Amino acid sequence: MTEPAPSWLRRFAVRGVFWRQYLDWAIVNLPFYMHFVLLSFWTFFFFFFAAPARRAILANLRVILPRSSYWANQLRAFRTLYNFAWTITESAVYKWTKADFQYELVGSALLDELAAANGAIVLTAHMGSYDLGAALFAQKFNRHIRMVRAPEPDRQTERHLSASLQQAGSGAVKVDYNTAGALLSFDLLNALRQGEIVSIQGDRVPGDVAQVEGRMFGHKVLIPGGPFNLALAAQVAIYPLFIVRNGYKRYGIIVLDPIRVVRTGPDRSADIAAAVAQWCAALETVIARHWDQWFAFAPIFDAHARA
Amino acid sequence: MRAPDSPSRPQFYFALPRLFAALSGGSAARSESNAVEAHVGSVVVFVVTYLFLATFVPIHNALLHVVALIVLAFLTWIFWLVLVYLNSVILWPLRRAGFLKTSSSARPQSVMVGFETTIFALVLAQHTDATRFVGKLWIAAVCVNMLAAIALSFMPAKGRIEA
Repeated sequence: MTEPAPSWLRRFAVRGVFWRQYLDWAIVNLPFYMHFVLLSFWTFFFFFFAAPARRAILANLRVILPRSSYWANQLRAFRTLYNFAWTITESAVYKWTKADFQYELVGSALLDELAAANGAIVLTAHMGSYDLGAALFAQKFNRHIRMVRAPEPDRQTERHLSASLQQAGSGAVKVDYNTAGALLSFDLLNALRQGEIVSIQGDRVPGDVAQVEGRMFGHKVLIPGGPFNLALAAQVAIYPLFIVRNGYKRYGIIVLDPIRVVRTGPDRSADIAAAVAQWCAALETVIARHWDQWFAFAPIFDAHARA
Repeated sequence: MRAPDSPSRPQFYFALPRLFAALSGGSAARSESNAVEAHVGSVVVFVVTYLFLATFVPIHNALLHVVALIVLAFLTWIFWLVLVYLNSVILWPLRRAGFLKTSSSARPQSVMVGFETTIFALVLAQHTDATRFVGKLWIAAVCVNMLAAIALSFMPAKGRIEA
């Protein structure tokens, strides 16, 4: 068994806090017109050094775009990492400068409905700038959001991301980490019953949390079961919501038809399965169109095979 | 955050396009939201620096020279990372002394990046090969931009907002 790296060295790991802190420093210190070239080179750097993330993107692409060749997928993986670089950079720009961003809405009536809802679950994916989206939603509609994230492998990075989100959302976004403990579930259920909005990432199962089986791109996948159980218990709707980057400081907010988990008979799991199928269909539609902004960085389809 | 139906006349960062915007009835307010400026500005600064550094690459063998020029692209990236850090070290005492009022150092860094790139361009402009045109083009762009900044400073506040 190998010894874990010392803490000072872990800072420099791909998901270590050093890179997040460096990004913050760069945003405060660099003129905006330096970002493009520097980010392109940083993408090259991480394309080679973040090999597990690159391999995960490739594994997912093989399922999403089965006809795409090996070399084309390498370029697509680069493009995904490049988009990720821009996305986290622009989130940091917003955090530090509250810069003016432009957005386009798909499903604006649904967004208004969500904003007026007395308790709702926003089910989203590791896609585009979900951090920026939550912060902006909270500010635009003057609503507090409870955001549930997958825990980061590095504690310092986790603390840094939580602080960044709270800073970007001017305190209106509270971050919770999705772990196997039951306390968070009760806490979230309570929040929903009090009319709050809870945002959960529903495309990847972190650690040992409860999972349900779905189907995407003709493959079985495992997704978190928590959002569906919560929706059933609290009797609130699930709104699939995605934030995609459409260009320089331009984002698209996509809100799809709400999923209602309704008890129809004695078989509770059948009701959950119907809602999961709706979510998977929504996720598949958005990923098929925006595969280059799906930052799951874990082999989603292989995970089912391993389980 | 701006909704799609909000006014979306292009806004600019550099003084010359801001002057044109003001003269055509638009806003001359400084903005960092222009995608063309963000991309073209980045490429031009990088190309001038790359060509400047390329003058130090010795030519012994054509193949080695090509390899060196490819490696130089990455070295230029590292060069800028170091230079921007050194700029921040220079700016730090100015900030401590209260000369820099804003929380961001991006504006003073922008002045320093412009100054440093102009030095590289001045060296390039002395050359006898085609790279001298790149150097002269940069110097011309800087001069025109400075004239535009002076013109903007004489414009009424409504059109200018911030020179």
